[in-house]
Amino acid sequence: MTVHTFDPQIFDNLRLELRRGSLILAVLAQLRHEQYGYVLRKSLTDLGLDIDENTLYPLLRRLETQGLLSSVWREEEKRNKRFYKLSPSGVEVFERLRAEWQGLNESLNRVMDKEYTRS
Amino acid sequence: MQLLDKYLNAVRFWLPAGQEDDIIAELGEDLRAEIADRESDLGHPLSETEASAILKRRGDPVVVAFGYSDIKPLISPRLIPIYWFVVRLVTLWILIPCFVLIVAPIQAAQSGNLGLAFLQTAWTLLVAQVFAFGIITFIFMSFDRSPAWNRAYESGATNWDPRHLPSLPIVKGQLKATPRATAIAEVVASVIFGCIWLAALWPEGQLRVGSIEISVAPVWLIVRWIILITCLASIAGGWFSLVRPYAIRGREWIKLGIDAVNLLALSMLLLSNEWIILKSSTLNAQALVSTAGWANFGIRISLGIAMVITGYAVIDRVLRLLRKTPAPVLSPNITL
Repeated sequence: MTVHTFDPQIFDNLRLELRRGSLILAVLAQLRHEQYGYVLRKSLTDLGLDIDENTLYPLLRRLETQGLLSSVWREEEKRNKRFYKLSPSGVEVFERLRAEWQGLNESLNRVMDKEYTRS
Repeated sequence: MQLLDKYLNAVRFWLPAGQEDDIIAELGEDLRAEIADRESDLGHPLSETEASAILKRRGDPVVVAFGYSDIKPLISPRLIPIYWFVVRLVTLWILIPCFVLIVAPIQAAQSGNLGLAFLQTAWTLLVAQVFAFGIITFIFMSFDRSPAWNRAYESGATNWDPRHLPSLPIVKGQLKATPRATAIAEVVASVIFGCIWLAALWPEGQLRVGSIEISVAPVWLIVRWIILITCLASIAGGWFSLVRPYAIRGREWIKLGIDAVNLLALSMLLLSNEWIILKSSTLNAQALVSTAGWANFGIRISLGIAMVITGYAVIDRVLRLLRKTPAPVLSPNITL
């Protein structure tokens, strides 16, 4: 009997690639309502999407530079916090990405179901 | 808490220029929120060990800072401090002085046209800089991809301790702890500097550039012992900073001693009128004397500048040692 083994590093890399795009979509979706970084991270974790802080904050900055997010510093509970939300162009891009994601998801489901029924 | 300030300060150092304040404000707020949540869960203020665990989980400051960079580095963030040090050492402190003090006067003597000599020297220097930069980058890239370094990197990534981060730069002019990268850089620089000087001065160093043979004047043979002692003392000082980063006054006393000995060596050198001797079988005597004159004039100026800088360093160090080290100032937002 042949025993198939794989390098766990390969799985980790593929998993990271798969998550990367999904995380951007998740962040955009969450920021339809204004939130600050710490709460955003917690809310994503609560929804099952654990995101590393060292990934989230650079990502927020990048999305803001691309004009998809706007941010404002505001005092809350006696502390200065930076609140993010989707900009008008961010809303438009998010809606398009969501449609793309749904189409892709349906196609992938069909592909995977087909493969499954064949085997 | 000083630990958090130290961490943020360490991250700040590596952040992209112009964005430091903004990133640090947000990162600091996130960490404070996490610390406050943890305190609320535990029901007591965090100990240094508990706060340290949060910072350790967040990651090495260099790695965290490089997450904000748009450029994906060829060399991993943990090697970057040493890489930049070596690049600066070679391109600024070795190549430029060599070209200004040695190559340029010789080019001027050989071509007889100052403008052309300047252009030739500048072009050769540019080529040498690009070549040196490429070679250094290639060596570091290869090293970065070696399995041995990666094992050490993994070990370092899990073993680093926020409590060993350098102290905060409190107020300009006050003493602060030596960052580990600086201490390593001091040792490496002293070894490289010592080797170059030994090769140049021991026993009677000679260098041939084209048809010109350059040898050192007798005054160097007297100060070579002093140079050797200061190199060895600098290696010891770098090592001391590495193993005892918070023994700030001890480090300052060692450096003061080294600077004082350097002042002595510079004074002895400045008493002389000649630092290099040129010989050539092809160049006529007048051109040779003129070239040697310009080269020695350049060296006199350089020694004078070095003397002023070292003198200033000695006075500054003495003043800082005479001051009492005050308690560190915490940022007003710190909740611990």
